[in-house]
Amino acid sequence: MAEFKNEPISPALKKVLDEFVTVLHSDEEIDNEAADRLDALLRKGKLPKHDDLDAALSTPPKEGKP
Amino acid sequence: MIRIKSIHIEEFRGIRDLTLDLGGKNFGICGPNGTGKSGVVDAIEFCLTGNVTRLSGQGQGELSVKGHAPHVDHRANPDMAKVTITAAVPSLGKDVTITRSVKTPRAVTIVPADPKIQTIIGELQSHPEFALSRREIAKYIITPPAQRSTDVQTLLRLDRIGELRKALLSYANKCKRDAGEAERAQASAETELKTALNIPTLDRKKVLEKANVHRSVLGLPALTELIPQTSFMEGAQEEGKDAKKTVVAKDVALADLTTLSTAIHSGEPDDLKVHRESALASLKKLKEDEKALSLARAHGFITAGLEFVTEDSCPLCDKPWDADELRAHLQAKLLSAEKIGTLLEKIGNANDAIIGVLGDRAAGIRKAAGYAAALDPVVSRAELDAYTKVLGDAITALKTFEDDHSMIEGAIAVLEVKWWEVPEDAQTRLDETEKGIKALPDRSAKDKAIELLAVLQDRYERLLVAGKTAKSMTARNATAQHVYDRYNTVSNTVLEGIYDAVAKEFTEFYKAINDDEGMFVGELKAELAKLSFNVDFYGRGTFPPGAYHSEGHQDGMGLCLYLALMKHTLADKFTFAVLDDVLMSVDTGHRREVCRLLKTNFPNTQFVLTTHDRVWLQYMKTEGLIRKGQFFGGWNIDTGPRIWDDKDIWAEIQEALDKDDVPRAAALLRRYLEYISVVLADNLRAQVEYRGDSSYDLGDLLPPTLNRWKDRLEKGIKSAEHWGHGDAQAALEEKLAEAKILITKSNAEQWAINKSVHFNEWENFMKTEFKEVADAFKALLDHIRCQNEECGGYPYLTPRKGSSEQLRCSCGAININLKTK
Repeated sequence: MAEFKNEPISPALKKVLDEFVTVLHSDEEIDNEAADRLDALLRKGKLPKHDDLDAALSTPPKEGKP
Repeated sequence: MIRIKSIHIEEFRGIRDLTLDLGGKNFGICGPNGTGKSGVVDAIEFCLTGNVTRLSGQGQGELSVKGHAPHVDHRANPDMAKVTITAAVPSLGKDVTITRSVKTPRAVTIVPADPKIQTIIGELQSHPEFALSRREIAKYIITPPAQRSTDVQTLLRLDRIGELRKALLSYANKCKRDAGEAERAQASAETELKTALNIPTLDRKKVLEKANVHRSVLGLPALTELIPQTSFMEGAQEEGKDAKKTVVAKDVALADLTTLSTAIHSGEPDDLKVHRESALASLKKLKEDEKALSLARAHGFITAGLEFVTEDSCPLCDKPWDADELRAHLQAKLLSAEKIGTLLEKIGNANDAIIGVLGDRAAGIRKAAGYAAALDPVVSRAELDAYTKVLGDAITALKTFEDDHSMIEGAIAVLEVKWWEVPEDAQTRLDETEKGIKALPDRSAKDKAIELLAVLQDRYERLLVAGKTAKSMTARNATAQHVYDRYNTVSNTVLEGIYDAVAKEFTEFYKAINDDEGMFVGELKAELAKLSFNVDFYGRGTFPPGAYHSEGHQDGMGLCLYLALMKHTLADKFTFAVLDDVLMSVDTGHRREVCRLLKTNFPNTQFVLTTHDRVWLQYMKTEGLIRKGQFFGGWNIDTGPRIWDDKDIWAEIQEALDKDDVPRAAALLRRYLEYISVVLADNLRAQVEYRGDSSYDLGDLLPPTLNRWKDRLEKGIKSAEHWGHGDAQAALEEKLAEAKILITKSNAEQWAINKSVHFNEWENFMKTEFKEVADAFKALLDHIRCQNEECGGYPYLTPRKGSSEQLRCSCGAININLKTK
């Protein structure tokens, strides 16, 4: 896979990511906080690694629950 | 982005020492071939990016910036080759000086060292497409769809969208594999529990029944429910504290070995055989195609080859061939990307099933090895461990292929080996292990019950963990697939939108420069790994641009597609572009339209345009596209380009008059008026007497053109009156009155009847007489052209055919309605 340079995101990618996060927010199967974490990750200008995606998409246990 | 104010070039390419003052405006460079125009373009590219595409692009293997960018006399002194650009940064309201030397092409000196300016220069560096040469136009037009897809995606920075898609797909694939593995682990844990309990199916009632049988042997109360917290050993610890410890539960171990033995002796399972043969056939097919594809990628061999298969023999060696057969053969080698995707999915599914069976076998052998090592005397486990390793390596090879499809050989090797047949030495160890276990003394009923409950507890807990993991992995996989699907849908929709918008923009641009093609339409259609570009051909359908359109039209299309793409890529950051000889083959009839297109659609973009055609440069000036230009009149290796100033015509005439050289001043004015009369006659659709040899002199053109000017103003007055636009009517009446006075002063209407004022006589005029003539024409032309400083263009009628509806200039400051209906 090509090296993803740490460059500002292009207008086309920005458009995709804007639409993507909107779709995820309206998706009941994806937690809103996970959608925001994923959005922030994808806008970093780097290719996300599997661990980063795991961290973004996993729902941490809420406080007060085991 | 930036706007270049000036550029200073030293010892770079064919240039020794050159300074060009662009003033931050559009700029034209004109000169015959080989006079150094492209050297300026290279210098701009080098200074802004550190690279020279002409030296580093495709097919330039032996060339390099460091080795060949310096002037040939300074190849050994690359530090002498440097370029300095002074530019304005409109978005920051600042000026910047950028200097780069060939000695260290990656190092750029930016003054002031403002981080915001550095970011902008960095962006330029990542957008070398601001410079477009005529040769590069081809890549947008006649390139194969797959290459166009790559080029366009790179230009639009769509590659990032694709890279993110790949990252999400890779993650989704990993989640799918992990979920599959977790499911298999759960199934394996279930099998182990069933084996220990000796039951064919796993249900709560039967598990409890079996466990309670053993508990009753120990006199323990029956368990009534099976929950995660259930302890089969509850109370058994006390019973078993005096029992002699054993490491192998004889009955369970024999059951495990029986299960393994049954699997071994039944050979390759039928369903596995189907998967293995299917995967093997697909992998071999892919391997063959990969060869073809790599050839195509490396040399465009097959694609290019197909283009040559038009004759009955090889164009190189003249060896006869059957063209149809050869074409079919080459096409068969080109497996489409879509087919490859389907093929890989098929292989992936088969591999997953095979990995599952390999994993089960490895687990069974590992367990048997554990029993072998626990026996007294021990049975050697080395052979069993070796077999486990073979199975593990096979799993790794298949997984490696899933991650990297180039690792195809290892996957094929796994599928060609009969790994389900246990090696002889390992089988011997299995037999010895079984024999050793059978030879173990039978335990008391109580001890047996304790052993079985302990194994049951262990396997139950492992099943619980495996079940929990499988559930979590399944949920993770569902989320990953969902996210990937959503991203895919969104990105495809956005890309289609972008391509549609670019195609629409392209169509508008192309129609603007070819108004005789009113029905023209361009289509950009994205398919997997390719981007098709088709254009209308006079309403007969859409075809690739190279199919029927002339080279000139293709160049026009290339420019329009480039502009549409840049507009979408950079939006308001598209403030600078270098078009190197790009307009060369645009025919005369469309040149002004190209100038208008650039001027009206890209008013905030600074264009640097090179051409070897002086008339082209003049058109650019007349249309107000450029204000300044530079003529390169020759070149030699010692001095570089020979340049002279592109002077204003009126300044040149005045210069001649200052030297009392009326004949030269007269010749200059006549030549200029001849040129401008052609432009105005065309713009105003003047009614000129037709000549078959197209040999029109000033007398043929200018009087009817000036009459047409008055006539169109009169028409505008009538229209304004008709629509009740009093202010416009008054302004036009004033303009018409002014036109009549200025035309009278020019004496152009008198040429036919008064020979003494005829332009042929100008060279015999006194200096003061001629000065009056020149001033009169200057005033007349200034009166006709747009008064907006930024425009300054001559008005033209629209549409170009049929009843004229509007008299306007490029910027719209002149906008006279001619319609009365």
